[in-house]
Amino acid sequence: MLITITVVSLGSALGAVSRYAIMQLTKPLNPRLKLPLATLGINLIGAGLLGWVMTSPIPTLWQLFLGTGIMGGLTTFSTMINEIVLLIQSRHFTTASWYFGLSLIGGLTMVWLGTLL
Amino acid sequence: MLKKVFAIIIFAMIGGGFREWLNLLISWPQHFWITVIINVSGAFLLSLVTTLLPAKLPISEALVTGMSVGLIGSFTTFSTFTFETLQLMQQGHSVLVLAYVGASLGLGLIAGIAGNLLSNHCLLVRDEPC
Repeated sequence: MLITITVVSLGSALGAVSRYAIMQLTKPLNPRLKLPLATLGINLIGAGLLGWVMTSPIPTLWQLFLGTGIMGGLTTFSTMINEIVLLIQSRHFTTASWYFGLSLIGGLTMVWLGTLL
Repeated sequence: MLKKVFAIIIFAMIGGGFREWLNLLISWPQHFWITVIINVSGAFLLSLVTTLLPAKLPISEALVTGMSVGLIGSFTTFSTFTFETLQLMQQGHSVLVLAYVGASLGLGLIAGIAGNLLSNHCLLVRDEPC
């Protein structure tokens, strides 16, 4: 149990720092587009990679490190929800709907494609 | 910058570790509901951490970043949400798929709005122990 939690912890730290780095690096690129492309991209890529990792014939500990840890830490549900809430509050309903739909449909498509690899 | 990264690493280890600890601790037959609880509670807590906490307590910017990006960000997970949805879809549990996606996103949005409204309310009210 302790090894499992440690492995996931370390992976999560790597994932979270990568997410922060991507967010910071893409900040200057953010145009007039209201859609939070950084979070969307991170979540879709992370979903695809998780599908791949979890169905790959690798040791369980590696699945925990790469999948539950890194992909779990890289992708984030809370930021996505809060970005949708902020879009709704600033009355950008169309963008909020697109973001919501693209995250759900895109995420499911990506994780499915990942399992096919 | 370095302080923030360090804070993210420490708090992400706690957030991700706590997520796995809950998964190991709770042995429900429908295990995926744990993810719903994790994601919905995280959606509620995020705006409290980003707006209310720094306004009420004298904590550094690095600590706020660590707790929001690291702790809550790593605790909640989008990828597992999609993976568990796919598994339910492939098992043909259409009712469970709708319940799982509906609960995650529906309750998640309600929790996010509630956290946001609570933060904004508490920022305005200064005398109450908010």
